[in-house]
Order: sequence, then structure tokens, then C-alpha cells
Amino acid sequence: MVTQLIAAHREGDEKAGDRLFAVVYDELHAMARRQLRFRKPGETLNTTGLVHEAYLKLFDRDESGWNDRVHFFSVTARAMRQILVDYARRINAEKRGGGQYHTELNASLISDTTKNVDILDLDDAMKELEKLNPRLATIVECRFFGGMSIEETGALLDVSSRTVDRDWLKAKSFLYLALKGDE
Amino acid sequence: MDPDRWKKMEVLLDEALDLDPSEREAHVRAQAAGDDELRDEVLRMLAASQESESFLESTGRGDLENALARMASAVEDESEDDTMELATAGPYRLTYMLKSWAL
Repeated sequence: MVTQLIAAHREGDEKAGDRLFAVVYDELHAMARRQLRFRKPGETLNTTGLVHEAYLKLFDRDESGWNDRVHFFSVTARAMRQILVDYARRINAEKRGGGQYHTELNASLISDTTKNVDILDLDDAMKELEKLNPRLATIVECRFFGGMSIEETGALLDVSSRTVDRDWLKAKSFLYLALKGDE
Repeated sequence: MDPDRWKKMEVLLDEALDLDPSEREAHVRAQAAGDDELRDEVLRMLAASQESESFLESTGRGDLENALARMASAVEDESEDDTMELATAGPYRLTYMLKSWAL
């Protein structure tokens, strides 16, 4: 089914795109829950690569080409972003309601070596960026949320690797400033 | 920021990034002459492009997925009733479930 949805979405069928997104979103959600359920207490989660796992499970590698694969990854990246945002919102909402959650969960830690980022702040900044130059926001989605390479991202957007490289740098700079200003 | 303004900024930023780092600031100052705001914005972005090199970059997928799992656990642990029941079944305490159940 995913194969047909990818093909239809690539032809411009937005409804197929929505359904594809829903399938991938549900799968990521199920995988996150499964990981939680079957871990040993105190064990850090077995992070074998959910995006890749979703790919292996849903994507028909025999029937699809490289561009389909890139397309699928970009949808998975978007679903990953959305699911993180949805969880963060729920955590915040429930915290306001009963205060039963520890604040560090609220921090929604997505870290690099120097900085932690709240997923909701990042999402807001990405929406701002999207208004200014949608391609830059898509690149962040692919690179950060989808772990896609420069080459894969370029193929998706039909631009050169050099352009992706440059846009990625600009996008990071923009988000860096936007989030830094938040503190 | 409005999109036209951003476009102007991006063009100048692209030009600057094409140059040797030592030449960038002078280029921006020359090109943005008379538009201090544009000049400052582009210089700010240039500085950020240096500082943000590892930003959003070095995390790898593990961190992202840990964040997802952590948030999922914050939201969903409460509703995992069957797990809770099993964990306290009878006189035994179940310390973990076999992973193969998931497969």
C-alpha cells in the first residue's frame, strides 16, 4: 500500500500524501510504545533507528526506486517531527493539569554537545523559517528529523548537494539565532 | 521578518559565504551600504553560521529516538495498565518481559 501511496503522492496527489503520513506516523508511534513496553526496567532504550525500522517494515524495496526511498524518508522525517511535537504538547498539558511529571521530561531533550533544545521551540522557529523560505525548513526536517544525507536531501528537492549544503548552513544559523534569543 | 527582506538578506549572505572568510565582512559592509539593518542582520547570520556548525548536527538518530521514547514514556506509562498488572502479578515481581514477544 505504501508503494502506491508514495507513487501517487509523488504525482501530486495530496490525499495520498496525507494517508502516507498517517501510516508512517502510526508506525513510529507504535514502535516508540513497543520499545517502552519491552525494555528492562532502568535499561536505556534500544534505539536501533526508528526511522530505519519504519523503512524496513513499510517500504517495499523490490518495487520501489531510489527516489521513492528518498520520498519515503522525507515523509518519515515529517512524521518524526510531528510525533515529537505532539508528545511534548501532551506532556506540557498534563503537567499543567496535575504536575505529575518531572520537569526534565518537559525539556524534551534533543541535544548536541553544547545545547539542549526544546522540541516546541524548535518547531516554532521552523515554522517561522518555513514562511521565509520553505525549502530551508524542509532541509532541516530531512537532515535533523530524518537523518537524511546531503545527497538524499538534494535528490528529494531536485537541487545540487552544494545548494543543500549552503541552505542547511543558513537554516541552522537562523534556528540557532532564533533559539538563542529564546533564552 | 518579512519574506522580501529575508530574500534580500539571503542573497547577500550567499554571496558572502562564497567568499574566503576573511573577505566576507568587508563584502557585506560594501554591499549593504546605506542599509544598516541589512548589514547587521547578515553579519549576525554570518557569525551564527560559524557558531552553529555543530548545532542540530552531532546528535545522531539515537538522541532523537531517546527523546521520542522518553516523551512517549512520560505520556503513556500511565496508561500501560496491562504492563502494570503483570509487573505485580502474584507473589512475583516481573522485572522484564521477553523481547521476543514483540516480534
